[in-house]
Amino acid sequence: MKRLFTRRKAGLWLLVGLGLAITVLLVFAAPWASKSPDSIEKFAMDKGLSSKTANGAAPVKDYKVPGVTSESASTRVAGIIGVAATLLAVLAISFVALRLGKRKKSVDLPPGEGSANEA
Amino acid sequence: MHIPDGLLDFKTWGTAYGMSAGAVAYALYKVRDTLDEKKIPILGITAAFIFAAQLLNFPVAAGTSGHFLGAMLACVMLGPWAGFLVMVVVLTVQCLVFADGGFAALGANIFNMALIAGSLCYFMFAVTKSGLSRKFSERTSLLTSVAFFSWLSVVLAATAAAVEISISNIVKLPATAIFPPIIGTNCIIGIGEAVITTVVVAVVLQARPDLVHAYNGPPLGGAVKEEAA
Repeated sequence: MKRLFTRRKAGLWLLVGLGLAITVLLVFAAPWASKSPDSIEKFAMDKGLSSKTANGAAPVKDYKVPGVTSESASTRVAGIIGVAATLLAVLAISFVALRLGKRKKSVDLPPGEGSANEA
Repeated sequence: MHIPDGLLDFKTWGTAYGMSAGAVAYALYKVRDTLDEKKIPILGITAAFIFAAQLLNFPVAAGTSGHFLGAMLACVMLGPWAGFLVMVVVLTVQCLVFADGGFAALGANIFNMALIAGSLCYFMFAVTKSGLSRKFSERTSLLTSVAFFSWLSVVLAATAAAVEISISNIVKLPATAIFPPIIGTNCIIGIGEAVITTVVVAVVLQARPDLVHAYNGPPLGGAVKEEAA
């Protein structure tokens, strides 16, 4: 926990901010991405298998947000939804993992108490 | 190179689900005790960056497109199991929210693009890097190995997808009609993968070498961290 308040932390948040800025930029640029099929889609198309391949229902199927008419806006909103969902899921898993890991350690040393007395 | 539903048979996607589920359980077990809380922001931003970068398909030869994968980037930055879990999250969000990659094929997609392209390539990368670091600097060894294995990660993931499509035998095609088109395209996509991964790792290495899991050398620029206070 001490590490949170050292000078280096600023650098970390600068880097995280930069990463977030690049991520937002990438989402903004998403409508200009190539619309060509990817390697497996192209393979399926060329072999006449496209009718066999199908993916099930999804809330934002094929990165098109229902109700948003502009195609580029739709792609961007889908990107924001995806980034947010990814971020939330990773943070949720991290905090659960941290909690489970800590519970193991706290058998040896109750968290907080030791460091509080030190100061 | 997400596999859609309809190309894999039950024995193939079922087996892949089993192996991927096992890997997820093992990764959670490993990460639980090794996760450093100051790394959580990096974990989140790496995942978000990979998701966003995967939106940007770039044209490859003959009317095909490809995009960044990020499995090696995740593992080099976060370690082979935290990186694997980040890829699992990205692939699961793509599948469940956007129908990108089939639901039945999700296990196979995780197996190809997270386990093989991520954890497996990371271990091969780590062996190569430590071999190289006997002759070259840690930084040079790391970046060279990153470049090669991020290229290989895309090629191996594509190969695994081709193997799965082939052994499913739903498409009823000989291996010679399945492997070259899928793997060939991805040999080119891998070059893009190598460039992006190497540049991102090099930038982070310059700014904060301590945030790159795979970096074993001394902190750069003499910024030795003292916790004297």
